[in-house]
Amino acid sequence: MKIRHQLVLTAVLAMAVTGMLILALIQVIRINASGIKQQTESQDIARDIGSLLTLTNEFATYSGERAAMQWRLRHGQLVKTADRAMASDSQRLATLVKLRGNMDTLPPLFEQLVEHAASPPSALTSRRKDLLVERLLIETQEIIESSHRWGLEVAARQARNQRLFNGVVLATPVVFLALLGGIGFMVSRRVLRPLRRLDSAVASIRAGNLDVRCNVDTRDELGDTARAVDSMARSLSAQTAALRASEQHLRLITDGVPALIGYISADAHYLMVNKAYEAWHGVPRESIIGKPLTALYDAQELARFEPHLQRALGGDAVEFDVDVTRNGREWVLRLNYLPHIDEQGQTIGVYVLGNDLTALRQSERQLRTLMESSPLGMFHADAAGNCLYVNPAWLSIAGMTFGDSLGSGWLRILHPDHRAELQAAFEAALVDGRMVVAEHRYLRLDGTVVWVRGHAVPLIEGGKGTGFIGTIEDITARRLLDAELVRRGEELLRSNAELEQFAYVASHDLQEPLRMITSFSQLVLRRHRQSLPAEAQEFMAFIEDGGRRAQALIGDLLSLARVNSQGKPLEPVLLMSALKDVLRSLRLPILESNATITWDDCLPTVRADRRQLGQLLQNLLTNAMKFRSEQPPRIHVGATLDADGRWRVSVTDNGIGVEPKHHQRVFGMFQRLHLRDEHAGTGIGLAICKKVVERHGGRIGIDSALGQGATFWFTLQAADTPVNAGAVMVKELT
Amino acid sequence: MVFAVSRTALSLPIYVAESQGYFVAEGVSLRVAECLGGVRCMRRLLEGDVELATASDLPVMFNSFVRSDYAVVATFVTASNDVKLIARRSAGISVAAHLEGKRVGTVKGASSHYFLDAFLLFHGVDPKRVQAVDIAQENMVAALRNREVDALAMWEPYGWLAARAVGADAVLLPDPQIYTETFNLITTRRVLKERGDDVVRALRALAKAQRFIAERPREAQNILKQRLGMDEDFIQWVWKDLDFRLALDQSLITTLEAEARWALREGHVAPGQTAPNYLRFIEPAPLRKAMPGERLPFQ
Repeated sequence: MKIRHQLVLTAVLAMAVTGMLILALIQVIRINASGIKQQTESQDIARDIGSLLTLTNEFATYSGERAAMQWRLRHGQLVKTADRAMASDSQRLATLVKLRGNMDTLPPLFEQLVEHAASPPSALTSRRKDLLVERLLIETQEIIESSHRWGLEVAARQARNQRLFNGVVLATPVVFLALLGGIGFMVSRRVLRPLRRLDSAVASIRAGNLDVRCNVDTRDELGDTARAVDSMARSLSAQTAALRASEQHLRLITDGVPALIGYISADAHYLMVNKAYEAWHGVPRESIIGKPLTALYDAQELARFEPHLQRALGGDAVEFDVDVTRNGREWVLRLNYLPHIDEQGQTIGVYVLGNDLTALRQSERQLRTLMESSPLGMFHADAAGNCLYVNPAWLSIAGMTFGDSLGSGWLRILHPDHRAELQAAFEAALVDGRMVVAEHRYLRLDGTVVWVRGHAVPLIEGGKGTGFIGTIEDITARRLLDAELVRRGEELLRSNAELEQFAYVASHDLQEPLRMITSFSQLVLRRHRQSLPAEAQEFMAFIEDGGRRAQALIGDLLSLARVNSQGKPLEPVLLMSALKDVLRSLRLPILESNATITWDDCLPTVRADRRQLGQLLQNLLTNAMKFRSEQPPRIHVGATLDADGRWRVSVTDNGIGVEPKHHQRVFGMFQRLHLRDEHAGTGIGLAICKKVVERHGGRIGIDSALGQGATFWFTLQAADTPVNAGAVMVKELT
Repeated sequence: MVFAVSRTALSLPIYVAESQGYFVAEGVSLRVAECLGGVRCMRRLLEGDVELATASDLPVMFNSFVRSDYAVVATFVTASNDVKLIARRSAGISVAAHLEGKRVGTVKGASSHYFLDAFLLFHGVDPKRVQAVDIAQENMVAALRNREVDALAMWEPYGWLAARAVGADAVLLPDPQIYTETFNLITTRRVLKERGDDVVRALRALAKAQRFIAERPREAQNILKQRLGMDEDFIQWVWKDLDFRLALDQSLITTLEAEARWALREGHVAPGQTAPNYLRFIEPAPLRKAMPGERLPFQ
């Protein structure tokens, strides 16, 4: 229950008790007064009855008129007193009614007696008088007893009232003492004790002990206050913890920041510095915090800081650079003073942020030196293309003075042919942030032209291009060299074409005379063998053999020449189809060599010139059968997909193999690893293979070791779309 | 103990004490023996049949002329109008004076006898000119109904029964309040000596009954109705005249002496006798023990 309610209840209770006591006292006093009055009436009735009894006896004895008059008067008073008593004493109404009834019996008897006194004496009247007197005396006696009984009751009631009065009088201080005691106990228990706990808890909290709790669980105002204090303590504890954590974080952050961070009070005392500050000063932060600036800087240094500090204390944010010597080192600091302004608008301190620009300055110097000495031209331009800085190399390349170069002066030497293109490139770069690389010409002021290669990097700040930095390189010499190279390349191509044409023509045109030499040599030997001496026959045989080999050589040379000159566009070709064609044409050599040729179940479709692919396979298979070992040739054609998506086609044999040192040689022109007598051939076959593969954009190679057989492989592009298998089948069938 | 109790509404305290178990509660072994009228009850007491009896003041007064070995220990009810005079209208009776020469039934030696004489004298009628017929109370109603008598002077419930018996012919002559009957608890000196404590216990039980009647009158009335076999009309007829109060008052002595003088004057006792000292017939000690707070007029 709330204390307010308890106090109200207590006040109400106190008032009720007081009111009840007052009412009880009033009632007791009233009853007492009534009792006293009734006692008086009882005494009056007793007195009147006594008088009545005496007057009855007087009249019975003397029959005097005075006695009769007084009897009636006294009886009347008696009745009035009894009626008053009945009106005021309802509690004893039965006794009073009895009393009053007894009184009513007297007048008839007395009046009969009075009447009888006037009657003449007789025996009957005497008996009657005796009866009346006796009845009057008996009834009067009963009135006396009833009156006495009533008096006793009144007295008893009065005694009870007195006891009640005494009890109330005695109870009043007791009740008040009990009430005061109760209130005191309640105040002590419900107010003072919780207040002491509250006071103790608040003192502990004030002393910094935020873990203390009031431990008041009452549901009243103090309980609410105690819970509020507990809640506040918990909140403060949490906030303090959070603040400590925040301070810790802040300290970790500020300590982790290489910049100097500090806080200076309005009276120029350090209140906080970070680790960098501490290191910069070279003393522990405990020796800095709380100290005035005058304790940490000499007068000269202070003179450099003081005006800025005063400005900051005046409410301005201040940034300035200052050179300071600390720990035997020259420092260049950029200091920012940020005023700390409270809610009233007063500057109560200054946040200090100091950045060490020493290295930056040094770096700037180094960079400037580098830029000044660089052979590359360097520039810095704003977004509109106005030059802000150029280095000497740039001036040298451009043939301008520094003054001429600034602003838009450099545009004067930009060759008109490149101006529009470059301007568009720069505008785009400011948007997309890409570096502009361009080769263009400067038409220098002296009329000479230089080629430059420029790299311009857009400077983007806040998503917006603000300018460019870049380099230019004088490539005039290289451009001249490139032109020469182009010219020479073109000459070489033309020369090669002429040579190829020459070889083709020569080969073609040589075929006829060679055929004649061979044919006529054979004819001479056939017709005139008998007439020719043996030596002549032998010479003629040499002539025929030489002619036949020259024909083969020329045939191969023609084939080699036709690889490029008569090649057809590449198309999807079923490798299996091409292989089958070759196997059909090699049927006889296969039978003669007893060779076994196998292939993968599923050979791919490749992009190729079908005829040249067939030539390629035929050369490799022929080689495999030609350079056989003592074992019958076993040749396998397979295909695997390379990591780069090309098909790697291999022809593997069990032949004599090739030493690894000859692997590159075998694909050269006229390269033979064996005597002609051992293995016939022109030495051009593998060169043709290489040329075919290169025309297809692939590679060719060999994996082999002497006596271990050989695997010739080549790569071809995979076909994007499969060849019409039906068409192939038809072709095979026909 | 045996308690001879008159069958009348005046005996209600005994009925209540018995029905509420007050006698048992007070530790007295008591049996109620009903009798018709206080004269008979007191006779049984004096004959030694019972230890306690109820009787009005008249039997006490008449017996005092012949023996003195009994005493009144308490008055437990007074009735100002218990005895009534009921006449037959057809007998020509409508006021007291018409009773001259008429036959009036009553129980001689009982309160009704005294009442009749006092009534007549009060109204100036010489009792000797009225023929008082002594009739046993159980025959009283029949005597009036059968016109054996012209009127009756009788206590309740016979007055009520007689009035109902003759119906509209009944005339209740107005009572001038000339007699207040006391109904008393009487015992012998022997019993007082031998079983005085039981008498005290019986008085305590009657005191409880008195409080019961005062505090729970409806229940007391129901007890009375059941005990007498009477209806509610009868209860209302008699209740207002009854004052149940356990006491011993000076008026008892005054009444007894007045009645003694009446008995001598009217010749109802043998001539030459004198009225006894009635203090010797009052024993206040048991009541004082039973009700220590009561201030009795007798020492």
